[in-house]
Amino acid sequence: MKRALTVFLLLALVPCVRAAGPGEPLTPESAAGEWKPLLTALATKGSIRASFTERRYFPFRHDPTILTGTLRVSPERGLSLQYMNPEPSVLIADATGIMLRDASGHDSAMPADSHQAGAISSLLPIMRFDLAALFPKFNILAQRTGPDWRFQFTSKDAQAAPALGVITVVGTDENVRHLEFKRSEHQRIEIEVEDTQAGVSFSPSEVRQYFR
Amino acid sequence: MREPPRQKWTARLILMLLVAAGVGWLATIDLQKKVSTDILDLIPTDERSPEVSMVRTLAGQEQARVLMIAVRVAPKAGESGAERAERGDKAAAIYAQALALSPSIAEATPLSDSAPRNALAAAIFTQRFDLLLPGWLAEKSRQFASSGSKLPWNSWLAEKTAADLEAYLSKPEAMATQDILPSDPLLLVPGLVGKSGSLAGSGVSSGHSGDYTLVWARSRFSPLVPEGQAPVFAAIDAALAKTRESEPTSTVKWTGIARIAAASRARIEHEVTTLNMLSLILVIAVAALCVRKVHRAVHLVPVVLGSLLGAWVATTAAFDRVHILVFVVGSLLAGVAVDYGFYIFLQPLSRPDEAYLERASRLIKPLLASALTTVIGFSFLLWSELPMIRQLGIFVSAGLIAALAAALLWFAQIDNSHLETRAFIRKRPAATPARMRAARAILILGGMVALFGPWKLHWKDDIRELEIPTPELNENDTQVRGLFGETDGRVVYLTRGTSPAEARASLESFLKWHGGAFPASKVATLGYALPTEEEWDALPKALQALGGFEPELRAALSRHGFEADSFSPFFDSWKSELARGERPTYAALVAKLDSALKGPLSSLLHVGSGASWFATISEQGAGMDPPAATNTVTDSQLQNLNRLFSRYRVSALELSSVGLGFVGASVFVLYGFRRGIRIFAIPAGACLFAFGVFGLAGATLNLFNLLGAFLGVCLSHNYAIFSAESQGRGEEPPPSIRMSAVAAASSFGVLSLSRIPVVAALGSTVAVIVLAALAITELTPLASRAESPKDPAL
Repeated sequence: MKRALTVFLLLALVPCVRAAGPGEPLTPESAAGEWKPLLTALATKGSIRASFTERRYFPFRHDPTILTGTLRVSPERGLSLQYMNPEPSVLIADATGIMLRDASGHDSAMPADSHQAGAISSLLPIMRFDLAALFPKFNILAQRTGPDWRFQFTSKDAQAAPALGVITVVGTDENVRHLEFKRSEHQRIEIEVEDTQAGVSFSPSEVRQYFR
Repeated sequence: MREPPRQKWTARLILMLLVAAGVGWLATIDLQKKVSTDILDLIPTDERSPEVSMVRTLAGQEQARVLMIAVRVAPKAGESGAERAERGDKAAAIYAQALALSPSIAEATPLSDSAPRNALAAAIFTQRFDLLLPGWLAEKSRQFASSGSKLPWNSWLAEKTAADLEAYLSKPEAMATQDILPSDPLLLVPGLVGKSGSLAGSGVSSGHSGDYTLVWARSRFSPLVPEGQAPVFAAIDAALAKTRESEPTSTVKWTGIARIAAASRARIEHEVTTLNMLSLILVIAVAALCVRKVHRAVHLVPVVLGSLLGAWVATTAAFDRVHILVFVVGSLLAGVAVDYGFYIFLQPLSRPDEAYLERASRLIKPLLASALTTVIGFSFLLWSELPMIRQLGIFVSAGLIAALAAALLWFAQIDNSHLETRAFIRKRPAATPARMRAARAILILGGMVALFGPWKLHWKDDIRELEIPTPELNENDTQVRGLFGETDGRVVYLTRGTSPAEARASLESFLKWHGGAFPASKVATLGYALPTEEEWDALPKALQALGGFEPELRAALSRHGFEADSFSPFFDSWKSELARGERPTYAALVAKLDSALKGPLSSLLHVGSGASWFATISEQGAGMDPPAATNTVTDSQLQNLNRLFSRYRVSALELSSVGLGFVGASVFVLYGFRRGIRIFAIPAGACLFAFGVFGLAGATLNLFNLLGAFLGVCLSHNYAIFSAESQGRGEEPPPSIRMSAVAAASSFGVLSLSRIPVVAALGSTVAVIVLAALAITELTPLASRAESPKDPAL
């Protein structure tokens, strides 16, 4: 009985394991096939505004550093992370590159070859689900369980891969819920995305404040 | 009239010897090296203004050799932006590699190549205790002093360090620097990155701009010498050809001082040839129109050629390098030199068999008076600080003496050295009452213009007016510089010192001033990566005072949620630093940092014997200039040079005033006070009238209008002298005055057509003064009630 119960439990856990596993490789063919409806829906959502909570895990610190703010994605203007706590600042990733805007409005560009610039640069096509930009750069694994889905990106560039680590995007239906940049267990960023509003339009002052 | 053979052969021999010596001298010199188109050759090498000497040095150094190149590949159908950018990178890499192979190129690198930045980052990180710790300790010490904390220094510093580190982790850039934090919990390097954030976006770190991939290169030779021009252009073309082998659709946009300098030289050379030829043709045409036997006007040509030869020889012998503008402006000599030909050749004979020597001795006083007074006036320009004005002084003085000598000698070796003018050039209107009133009205009107017009004058010197504008090249230059991130909203400051230590100390003063003057603007400078000499010298003592810092920091890190043992790389280095025996000298420290600057980064710091400077980039619009005590200027060469030229204008005004004073004094000595006043009134009145006309027309004048006025006064002074001589003999002014004035006005009128604005300014000023002087000379006898004098030709 005990053995049968164990087997039952293992069988019951299989879908969960599958859901948490790496999934199947996403290719241009599969993206144009069974994944097309979801990917098209994700790529054509228009502008997005959402709140986020970012947890930064450092190998030399016991607890994560927690930051909160508002995420904005504009198909034309790129990605903007407006940090509100503990210190206000804005991080912008667009076609021109990466830019930091501090609380007093000073802008400074981030070196294009820095680790974070690489991660943020990757975030832009990922949030846009711009497969044309993603396929040449990443090996992509995809997994779907009901309305839940998960994509895992690993850089094809052997030099950049260790710095970027593994990027994971998790969502439900047409909404991204969770992002992870993982270089190691002790060195990773997790971003929880909530209150997503799709198809929003940004006011001129919002554009001025949070985009380049 | 036949002249004695002995006189003729003596004159010929002297002429031949002088011409042979002159031509022989010119044949021995390398005109390419002798004649400069470098605008900086207009500035004295020992210019007293430090900012100008710095700009001069800067322009002559690596900065001027920089070539900015933007490579573009055409898009392909169905290609993504990323794929195209990748092809652009590939094309830029091939281009830079091919360009670097040329012997005329010192280095070439795609800006997307992070190697120079990485090399600098590695050098700073490795030497962080030397480069950054002294300044960090000084700053923390100031914060400790102002905090009023009761904690011991060690404890306060440890707590502050851990708190700062914790706060830093919530900054966006923390993820980029997390790998180095175990070695650098003091945030020495991240602090530097934070301060220099805007430097990263200053164009030096970005490899792409729009559709373009950027390549930075430096030529081996100065862009102002031939070796730094044509071979560089060939290398740029060859590199493009090489790139097209892989990427056939590649195109490049590029700019560099060499390109503009070469275009400027070509245009000015063309201008010299055209203006000189046109001037000569017009002078000959005027002569041909006014004399009876046109073919005999050819005797005026040797006078002009002799004058130009003398001017070229004297100027090239007196100066190592002569600016080409001197020769452009020197083309006016044709119009001045021919005067002596007119005065001798057209002077009516006192009797049909009058010998040349007899006529020459009759004319020698006014000839010498007019030539030598002009020479005296122009000789004062030799005291000018501006090389070009000194060169012009020599050129005109030597040219006039040579013209007079050539005229005297040439006409001494030909028979019948008299040429009769046509009747119309001698014709004078009868002094009817109506004409007298009209002449008076015109003179009064001219007098009012001369009296009130000059008050409306505006003066402004702009060095850009020294060159022929090249709008298409300038537009290209602006476009390419824009691609490289050089935009209007950014100011680059240069802080200098005779040594790196002095420059760094001045930088400290400048940064304090800038913080107060532009509190909202961030600045980026490599100076942040170098302590002041004072901080460097204080480091050993400061470290001694931090003996117990390590345990204090460990405890503070633990209190702030860190695993203190993770920072063992830092603690190991710290122990080594405390135990360190010898430290490099400050000069060695700077030299090591300087050696880490490669490619475009080399423009951030200059270490040279006698002059060092730091570049500071500020994201701000134009504003107030830094105080002189900071030894800092903006890199706007234009602004500095314009100020310099304004200063030289004042200097030239003083010198030409003294020169004119001597010209006037010499006239008073030669002709007495009463006649002297009447003679001097003509050029002075003509000059004031010309300035009055310009003032009423709303013209803005510059240094070259002033020089033109000086020359115009000297020329019209000649007319006044010859006119007074004739009047003294009870004759009408000789026709040679009219011909001289028309020839000079034509010659200078040609200059006013020049595309070089200052040359046009000089030409128009002289032309107006000369014509005004002629008008005064003509109208004064008509306006007076005196009976019309007899025609000298009759």
